[in-house]
Amino acid sequence: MSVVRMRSGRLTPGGNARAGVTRTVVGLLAIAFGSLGLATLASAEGEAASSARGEQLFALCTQCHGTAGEGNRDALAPAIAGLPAWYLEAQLNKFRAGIRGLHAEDTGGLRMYPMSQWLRTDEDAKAVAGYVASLPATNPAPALEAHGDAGRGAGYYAVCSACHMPNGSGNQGMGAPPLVGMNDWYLLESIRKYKASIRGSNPRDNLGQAMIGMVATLPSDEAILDVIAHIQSLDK
Amino acid sequence: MILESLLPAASSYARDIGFLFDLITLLVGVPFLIACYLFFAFIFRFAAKKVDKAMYITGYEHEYMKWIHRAHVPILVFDVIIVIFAVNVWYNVKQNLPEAESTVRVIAQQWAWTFVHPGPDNTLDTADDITTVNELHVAKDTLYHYKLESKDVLHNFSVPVFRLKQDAIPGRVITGWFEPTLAGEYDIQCAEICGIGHGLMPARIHIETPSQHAAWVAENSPFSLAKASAPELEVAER
Repeated sequence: MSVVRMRSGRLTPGGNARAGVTRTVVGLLAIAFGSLGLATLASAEGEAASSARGEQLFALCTQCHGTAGEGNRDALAPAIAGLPAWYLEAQLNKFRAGIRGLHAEDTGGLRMYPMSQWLRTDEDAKAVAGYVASLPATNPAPALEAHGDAGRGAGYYAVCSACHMPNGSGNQGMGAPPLVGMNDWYLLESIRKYKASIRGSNPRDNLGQAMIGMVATLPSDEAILDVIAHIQSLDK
Repeated sequence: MILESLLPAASSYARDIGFLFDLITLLVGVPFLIACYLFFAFIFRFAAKKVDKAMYITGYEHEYMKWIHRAHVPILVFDVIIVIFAVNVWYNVKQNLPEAESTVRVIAQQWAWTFVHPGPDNTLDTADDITTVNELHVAKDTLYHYKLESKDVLHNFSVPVFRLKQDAIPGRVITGWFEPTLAGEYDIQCAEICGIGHGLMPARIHIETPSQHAAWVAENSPFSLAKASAPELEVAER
């Protein structure tokens, strides 16, 4: 209220014109800084609210992905904790729009599609993605029984490294998520799904369609295991 | 028909089940209303009046107990009536399997329905099968068998307009039948709690006239889809 009163100048009856102008300028500056401060405060509050909303929504995810976002292979749910927010949000939005997870043979995706419908707004998707990204990465242990040859896998990985980077850290500009820190079984399942066009075949899934093309460079299950062995050997 | 006024009847046996619903509603509802009337009538009739002190009945006096015993008679009679009609309908819907004109596979999972339609050759498990998610297409006045499976836990294939409910049990393929009699688009739902996403697995059934259905099949068969995506290729239709 004080700011408004200063601007109005009604507190200076009898003052000269220059004093009035000075007060007006000071008043305007005060409003400008005041609103900047308020905006910063509001933004900080907005972030806190978003994080709280994200944590609240995350309770739904924990049913399959675990309370720490560590994943659960039996529920076909990969580890998600610590993945970049942009990637999580993009995938959630693909599920929400039915671009991912609506193929008849994508059993895990068909679980995720209805769950993504809980996120009624873009803000909710952003909030939960932000919260999951803020969780410490769980770096899941290898779970596959079959192991590939990391040396051979390095050769295959040359193609992947163009987007996912040589160290597997991912590249937001290319829409490529980090591969290190992902479950080995999830990588295997995902590559198999891309190869069979179970994932990525939706015409609106440009990056998915690109992946279908890229995984064609892996000629067999053995090659997939090799490249996974290489990814597992990269520093986390 | 009480039930049909609330929900359309879209299968050949929907009205039989609707009749059972109405019968039970009447047989139970009328005595219920009489009982309610007596209950409140006695409360108000004898309220706050210094009539006789409440009487203790030992349960041996025929004169008093007859009012309880006599009420058992209609309960037993009504039960017998309901059982006779219900067994008849149950046999027709669940234990009788009329010859199919077409067969669809219904696969339930947490939390989606996958439907496999037989395609242009009208035979399941052939290359021209049409697989859809959360969308079942059937032709009106055609007798269907369904092969119901579950990928994970218990589900229940429920089509309210058919008055059909059938549990899906992991490891079993359950065969049943229905004959749609009313064109339109209606709900399919899971009627067995199956996990956190149970409420989020609705699907739709599209009941089409035979010509509409044939057009849908022709349009969506894998061969016509392949032809549409690569028109320069000669793809055999059948």
